[in-house]
Parts: sequence; structure tokens; C-alpha cells
Amino acid sequence: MNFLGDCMEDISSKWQRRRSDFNHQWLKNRLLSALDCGANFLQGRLQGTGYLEDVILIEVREWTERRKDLDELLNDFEYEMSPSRLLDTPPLCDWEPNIKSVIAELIHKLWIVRYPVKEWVETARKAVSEVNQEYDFLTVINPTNENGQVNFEFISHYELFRAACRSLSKTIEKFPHQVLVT
Amino acid sequence: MSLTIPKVLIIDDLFGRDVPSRYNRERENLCGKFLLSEIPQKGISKSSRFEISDPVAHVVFYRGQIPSTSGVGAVVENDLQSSLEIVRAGWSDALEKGEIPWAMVLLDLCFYTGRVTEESNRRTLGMPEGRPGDDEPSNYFGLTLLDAIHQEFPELPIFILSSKPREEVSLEFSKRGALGFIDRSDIRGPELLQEALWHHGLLPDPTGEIVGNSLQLLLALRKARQAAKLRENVLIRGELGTGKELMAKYIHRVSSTANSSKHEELVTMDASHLTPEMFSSEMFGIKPRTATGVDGNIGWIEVANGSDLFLDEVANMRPDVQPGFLRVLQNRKITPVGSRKTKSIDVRFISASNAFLENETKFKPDLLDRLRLGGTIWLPPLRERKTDIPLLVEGFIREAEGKQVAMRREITPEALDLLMNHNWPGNIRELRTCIFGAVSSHPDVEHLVPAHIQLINYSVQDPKNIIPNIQLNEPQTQKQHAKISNSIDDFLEIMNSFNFDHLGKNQLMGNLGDLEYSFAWFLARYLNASIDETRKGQSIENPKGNILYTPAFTLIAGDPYLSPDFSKKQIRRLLEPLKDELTDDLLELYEVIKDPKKKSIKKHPINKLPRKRSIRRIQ
Repeated sequence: MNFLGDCMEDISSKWQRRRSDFNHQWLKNRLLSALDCGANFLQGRLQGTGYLEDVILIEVREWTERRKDLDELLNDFEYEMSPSRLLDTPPLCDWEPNIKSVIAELIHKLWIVRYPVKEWVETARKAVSEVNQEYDFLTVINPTNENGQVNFEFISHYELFRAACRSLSKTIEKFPHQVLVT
Repeated sequence: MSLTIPKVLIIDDLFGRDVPSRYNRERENLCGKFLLSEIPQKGISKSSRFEISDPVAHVVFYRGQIPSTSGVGAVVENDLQSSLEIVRAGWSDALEKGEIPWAMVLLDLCFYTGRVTEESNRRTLGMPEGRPGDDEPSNYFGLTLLDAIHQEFPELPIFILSSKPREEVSLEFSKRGALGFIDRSDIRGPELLQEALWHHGLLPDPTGEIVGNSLQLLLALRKARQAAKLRENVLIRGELGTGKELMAKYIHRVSSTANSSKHEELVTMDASHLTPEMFSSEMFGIKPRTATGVDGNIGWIEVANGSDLFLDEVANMRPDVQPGFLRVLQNRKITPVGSRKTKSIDVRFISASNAFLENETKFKPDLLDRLRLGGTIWLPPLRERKTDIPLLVEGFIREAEGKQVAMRREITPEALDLLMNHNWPGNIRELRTCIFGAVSSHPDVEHLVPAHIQLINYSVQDPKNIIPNIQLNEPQTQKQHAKISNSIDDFLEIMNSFNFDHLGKNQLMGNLGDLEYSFAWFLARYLNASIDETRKGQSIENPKGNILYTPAFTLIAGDPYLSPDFSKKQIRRLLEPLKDELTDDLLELYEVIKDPKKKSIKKHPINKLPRKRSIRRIQ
């Protein structure tokens, strides 16, 4: 049992680490943290100049790079977290290749049927699409108007973008944290 | 309410790491999100792009790993020992020095280790690649830290601050002693942290009414805040003079703050004064026109309805009153005398006692259970929170100086040592009396030295019957003589330097102010000394005893046949010109003397209170 557990840990750790890099390290700890901080600016709890512009310029614009990582992560999910990966590790990897391919296909189909694998990915893609949409709005609006006051339209899209990012994070959180075999 | 901002420690690999040549952007964002004001540490840069108008906490960040700054090629390892050292510095070391300790420590869960590569550095500056297992809940370094910190500092409040899923570790962190979990990505960041600090953190009283930073006091204050939230009856226990009434006011105050309700006065009554004859009328009130000549009266419980009623000396509640009181607590209903209508009541009873109620055979156990339904708060004796003595002394000196102070007194380290080494059986009240005595007896000194301190040694056989055995550092008579002789010296000096020779009677009129004032002070000092000599009825509740004005005035007049009325008149005449500058004892005496209706300086029992009540207000 421990051996199987170790195998599953090992085969899933790469995808889990990539997810952690995206969702934990970047989306939550960097982007959402910066957006929440910016929201405190908009509510008058923080004072200073140029912070919101920096958030858009540095943290928000990084989305265009990070979403590529996310696309790959979502594309790889079905295969990388499939229990059929167990057949790539000892001792199952020593099976006859033709038997292994049949079994692997069977295990993979069972995994897709028994768990909402496609649905997880689809839901995540929809969440990505919402973030994309709000990103496009947000990045073309100036945070402040000519008088230096915060632009009302900016506030509205800022909050929508923040909500979309938070929703995306929760969606990604829902993906399984280990290979599901039961 | 003015706030003392709590100080917290965050141990986190990402937010605690130092970034060379620029500030840690992630840390800055976290500070802005949770409204944390960073306390700069050696070698760690401070966030600088904004200011926080109303910070939730001051924060110190620590990486929990070595090195604190890591560039490409560096290998990052978790460091338990240095983490414990920084916790210790702000906790046990701070407590020993009487400083405000960490209100709370917040721990991250997952700490990434290993080599910092080009790729990992590109993703997040200074962060390592991570080793297999770093990200596994069973291997979280945060839980190892939690174990070690909780084991070494069991009273230190620890919360998990993480963006990892709570359910992964909820059982583990509870088992290991963490008090809760704050989701770092939760949108209610500042409010969540504030709530966690308020209910679980160790915070001094922000108003300064309850003075001290000792662990025992901070734990009692936290318990009080937790009890206040429940709105159930609370029992405050502690030796005499530990500040039970102040604690009751604190509970009342923080409840009002938490409920955002109007801050109303705390209704206070002495439970020992209730008798069966007047129990119903006093507690429930009297319906108007119940009988000829009887005025209507609102009972204490109705006065406190919707709020709190403080019952002092609950152990002294008469056994024949307790059943009626228990019924009120059980039914939450009252019927005023002369009325047939019952009224529902919503009153929280905050009781106080210095007795061990469980051993009081005359105290109903079911009443005790009802009174402590919302918790029992134990107030530590002063001997167990000696690190608070310097703060208390400072406060009492300022209080004793009053508003008209011409100079600001200091206490010397030697005098403070004397106070720190005393056992204080009379607790804070005894310390206050001691400091007030030192200040009032030495109005012209800028430094209080050991010779100015008079300590009272109590015999402590039975805590309920502690009788103070007054022993002064030097014999009492010498001390009093010294005080009087100072006044004589002043008086004689003014007399000697006063020019009588060339002034006629008419010219002297109106020009004798200094002389009259000095003479009045001389007599007042003399009276003060004679008051001390003739006091009676000393007990633990009343360590100084009662003032007996006729014997006191007899002593200075030398006439054994003086009537009380005559003594009163003479004392009034003597103190009238000095009424704004009197010492505590003389002021107390003057208040009694000037009011012909008052016969005793003791508190009036409840059945002698006037019908129109004045309720003590909390400021």
C-alpha cells in the first residue's frame, strides 16, 4: 500500500508542483495579493501614489505569460494525473507492452468515466476565458483621470477582474491533489 | 477607543525572504492586503510604496530558512533553530523585560527548499526549485515549526496563514496546538486577522485602564474578551485588590464595542447588602402607587436590562437571598413589587469574588454554576505579575500628582527594586496606596527613593481574614514627626522672614496669605498624622482602616472632652482653605465632615441608598 502510495506521489508530483507554481505561488501569493492590496487603495485604507499603475503594469500584465503555463497545465491534466501512469512505474512497467497498452487504455477510460475529468478542465477553461475577457477591459483603462482621481470605470473592471481571478483560483484548487484510483 | 497596535510575527519562506537591491514585492502586497505595518529588521528591507492609515498589526517577517537572501546557485534549507530564536526574542525575552510580547505568531505551511535555479529565480526572485516532498502536507515544515514553537512556548497563540487548502491540514494543525487558520487568499483579509487577534491574540487593554503586559494578565484579558462575546454570566475571581471591578468594566466595554452598541454605564451593586426584606423591591423595583406614600422605583435588574449588572462581593450574598436570585437567573423574568405582570429581562450578570466559592457551604452550588456559565476569569495576584510593577508605579505616580502637578516625579531604580521585591499581599490596591502615600508625603521631591516608600506587611494565615500588620521602613512615629516637622520648618521660616514691624493691623489684613497658608498646612499635616494614629478597623478589604475624626482631633487639640460636632466644625474650618490640595486621607475626611448628613465614611449599604439612583459611569 505504501509502495503504491509512493508511486502515485511520484507520478503526480510534477503536475502538482506545476499547479502549485501557478495557483499557489503566482495567482494567490502574487496576483491576488496585489489585487487585494490595490482594493484597499481604492477603499482609502492605503495612501500612496503610483501603486495601482504598478499593479497593472507588473502584476496584471504578467497574466499574458502565466496563462500559457496554465493552458499547458490544463492540457496535461488528463494524462499526467491519470491512474494509467502507474503503468509507467515499477513494477507495472515491466508488463508486456501489448498488455500494458490495453490495460492502460482501460484504466484511463475508467478514470474519465468515474471522475468528472473533462468537466474539471472545461470549468477551468471557462474561468480562464472570463479572466481573459476582464483582462482585456482592464488593461485599456487608465486607473486615474486627468484630475488624478480614480476612474470609476477602472474600479468596476478592477473588481470584475479580481473576482474572475479568485474564481479561477478556486476552480484550479478543485482539481484532485493525488492520483485517484478508488 | 485608542488602540495599542498588536505586534505579530510571520514566518514564511516567500514573504520573509530578503530580496537584494529592491524591496520584497510579495511582502509589500501582503502588508497592503492585511493592513500590516512592517517593523524593519536588520538586513530586511521595508515596504515603502504606501502608507497604512489604520494598521491591523505591526509585523516582523522571518523566512524560517537560511540564507535569508538567496541568489541563483544558493541552496536554501529550513532553519528551525533560528526560527525559535526569533520567536523567543519577542516572547519569553520580552515578557521578562515587561515589554509587550508577540500578540500572535502566524506560520506558513509549505517552505520550498533546494537550489535557486535560473528558472525558479525567474518565476519568483530568490525562491528555490523545491525538493520532492516540500509540497506534501505530511512534510510541511510549517507543521514542524508549529510543533517546536508550541512545545517551547505553550501559551503563545499560533495561527496558520497559508494559501494552501485548509482541509489538507485542519486536523494536523489542531492536534499540534494552532488556534486557527487564516486563508491568505481570503478576500476579508484585514477583518479575518483582526478577529483572530481579538479573540485569540494576547493584547493589552488598549485604553490603558487595566495596566500591564505580563502573560498572566494578557491571558486573563483574552479570556475576558472571549467571555464577553458569549453574553453569558461571567464570574471574576481573584484576591483582594487585583482589579476585579476594572475587569468587569473591561468586559462590559468590549461587549459594547463588539456589538457596536451605545456604550452604556455598567450598573454596579454590592451583593453583600441585599437582605430578604428589600430583595424584591431593590432588584425588581416597585410599581408606582402600590401603597399610600410609596413611590415607584425601578429595580436594579431593569436598570441593567439589555446590558450588564456587576455584582461585587458575591460570596457575601446572604443565603436567604440566594434562592430568589437563582430564580431570576433561571427564569430571566422579574415581577416588580405590587405588580402582577412579569417582565422578561436580558441582563448579563458579571460577578466578582475573592473567596473560594466551591468551599463556601453557605453558597448554593447551582447559583455558582449559573453565575459562571459564560466562564470564570482568574485575575493573577500582583506577586505573579511583578513585571507589571514599573508600569503600574508610573501610572500611580502620575495619578497621585494629579492635574495641578508642578513637577514630574521619577522613581529611582533602588526604590523600584524595593517595590519589585515586596510580596504585595494587598495586590494593586496596596501598591496604589503605597505610591499615593509616597507622593503625598513628599510633595517637593522629584525622585522617589527607598526612604519614601512605606510597605505594609500583611499576615497571611487566612486569605479571608488578612489583617495588615503595619511595619514601616522606619518607625511610624518618626516618620510622622518628620512630616510634621517639615511643616513646622516651613511655617517658622515664613514667620521669621515676615515683616510685621512696620505694618499696622489694617496693612496686615490681606497680606498674610503665605503665612496663613503655611500655618494651615502645618495643622493639616498634624491632623493627617493624628488620623493615622487613631485609625481603627483595619482589614484586608480596608487595609488602612476607618478614619475616626473625633479621636483624631482630640489628639491634636489635647482636650479629651470634645464633642463630635465641635470636632467636625473645627476640622471643616481647618481644611476649607486647602480643599483643592488635600491628600487622599484628608480629602476623604473633608468630604465626610462637610456633609452633615454623612455619618460614616464607609460605603452606604444598598438599603440606605436614596430612591433616585445615581449609577456609576465608566469613562
